[in-house]
Amino acid sequence: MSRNKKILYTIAIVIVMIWTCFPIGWMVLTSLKSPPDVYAYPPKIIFKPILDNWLNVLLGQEWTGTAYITVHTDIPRYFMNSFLIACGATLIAFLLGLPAAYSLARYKFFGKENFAFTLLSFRFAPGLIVIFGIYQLYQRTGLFDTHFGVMAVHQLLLLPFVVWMMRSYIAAIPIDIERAARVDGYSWLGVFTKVTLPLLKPALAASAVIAFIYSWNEFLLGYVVTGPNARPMTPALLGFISYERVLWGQMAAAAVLGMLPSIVLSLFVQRYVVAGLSFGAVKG
Amino acid sequence: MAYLEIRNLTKEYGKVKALDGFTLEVEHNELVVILGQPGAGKTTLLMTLAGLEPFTQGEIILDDEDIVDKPTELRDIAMVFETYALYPHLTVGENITFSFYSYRAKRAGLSKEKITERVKRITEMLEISDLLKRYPRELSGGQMQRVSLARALVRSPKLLLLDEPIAHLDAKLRHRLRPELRRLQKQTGVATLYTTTDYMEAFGIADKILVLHEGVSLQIGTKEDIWNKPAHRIIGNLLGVPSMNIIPGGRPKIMNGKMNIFTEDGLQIPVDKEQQTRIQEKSIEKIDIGIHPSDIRPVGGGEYKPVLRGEIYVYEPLGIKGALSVKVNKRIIRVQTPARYEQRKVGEKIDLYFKETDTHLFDSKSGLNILFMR
Repeated sequence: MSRNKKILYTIAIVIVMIWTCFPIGWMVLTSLKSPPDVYAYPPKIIFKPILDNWLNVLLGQEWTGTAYITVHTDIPRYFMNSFLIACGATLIAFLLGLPAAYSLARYKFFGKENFAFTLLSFRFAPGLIVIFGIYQLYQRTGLFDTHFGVMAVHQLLLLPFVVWMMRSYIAAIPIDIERAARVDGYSWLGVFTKVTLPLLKPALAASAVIAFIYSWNEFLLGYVVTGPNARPMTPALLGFISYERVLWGQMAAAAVLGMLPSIVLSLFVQRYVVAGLSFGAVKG
Repeated sequence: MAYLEIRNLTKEYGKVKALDGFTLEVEHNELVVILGQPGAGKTTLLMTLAGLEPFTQGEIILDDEDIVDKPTELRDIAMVFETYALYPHLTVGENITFSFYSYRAKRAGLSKEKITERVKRITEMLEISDLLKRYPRELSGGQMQRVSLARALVRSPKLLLLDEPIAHLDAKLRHRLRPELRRLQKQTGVATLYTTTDYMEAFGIADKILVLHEGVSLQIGTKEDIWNKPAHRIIGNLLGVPSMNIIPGGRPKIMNGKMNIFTEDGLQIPVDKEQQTRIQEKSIEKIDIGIHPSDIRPVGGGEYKPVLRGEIYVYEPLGIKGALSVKVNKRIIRVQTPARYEQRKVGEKIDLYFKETDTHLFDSKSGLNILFMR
């Protein structure tokens, strides 16, 4: 690559980086600003950072000017809700999705492709179309505002993802390897646990992390099917917008907090770039 | 009763018959090679025996036991796959001992020492003892093949199935492994079914050869049987480099009390007594003539009365021997020669000789060797 080209590439990358990182950076800065700094115009890049927003959101400590007083904060609880829901939803998606993916990858059965496509089509429809029906259903069945309810509704997103991802990973494992294990004296279940699952480990880890992030970031469904009890982090951020004012600083602090798991997990998933899943065991 | 008896095995995929009334007997310690073109049903046959594929009807009796209803894992059959199918997440050592840690094997309770001893014996035999700590991805093709063999043999199975085990190796390695495979089989004494598309491989290692074509067993016999009396025209195509000359559509005619076959291309081929009687008995009208290129020799100078006259079309030197194509009328006849024929010029006249008894006559309609027609 010529020198000039290199410079152009670098400039392009820098522009993209700024474009992507700016909102995040701005949010972090906002979380450290006092209310007057937040509203200042033109916006301030240089200001005196304070931790008030963070203390308020995390510990429920508010600075009155002379002393800290204890106020109520729900953010840690919402954080836990999100965590529980994302873990549970991911678990359910794999418990249901992995067997489905295996069947789709390995067996021939009537309506197989239709089934697979129907599952995928959940993702075509905007959530708003189904959400009113689900709201009614949840109100009547007592699933409204329960953790399990949110986990279940998140399957609309996670299940198609898990099934389609795992299907292609399973199909990539040469079937002869499973056959060899059968011949070696293992029942179907034995083959699945001793051979197929270990081979799927990197794929499972990557898909699980992505599924977790999907569930964690989901806003609309979680917002509609919950009240104050099981509300996850994302819709809970709306709580900072009240009738008389918007608590931008606190909202930013909570938003940064809500972003952390996704960022940490994204870094983690990078290590599992799943290339050559079957390690070239089989010569084609 | 034979050690392994397969009776009337049939497998249908919809309307297609992958196996059609397949019958075979294999004795203890015997190595049977299933020879056939790709798509002949060789792999299907092995899969069916291993219980990996269901079949439509038939019986499989192994060691006095009907195994048709037994699931794969209980059949005690070992298989080496064309793709080797090693477990990529396990080391070579773990691959080889994998079968000893199944639920069933654990209950059978082979001691650790026994397992180690068996692994030692088999890996030394296959010269892979120094690879045990490696992963399959770190092995060469030949090494993978040996590991998959070791994995199958370490169990002392009742039956060993080898599905084109050396097809993907380079020619040199193939030649080296062939006799080794035979030696190993004789050492262990396991009844073995071995599939291949290569007649040389079959001839090299088999006790008995079965020729399979479109799910039908065409002939079972020794390599001499298959070479000297191919039961079907198709077998001619599988044998020899170059493969058998097949001259189609000849009509038998008797001249001066002796039968000759006149082909569409205007060739005249003499017929021996036994064949003549057979043709007359069965009143066969159209005959395809097969001649092995190695049974034809170029002649000159009157020691043999030439059977065919033609001109040299092309010569291919194949190393230790040569393949000479001779144009007789409009037909190309292939002749196996020693390498010296390179000297001859294209277009030069040449006489060919072969014995009457070396021709193989097939009924044009059914493709069957006339000697095998019922």
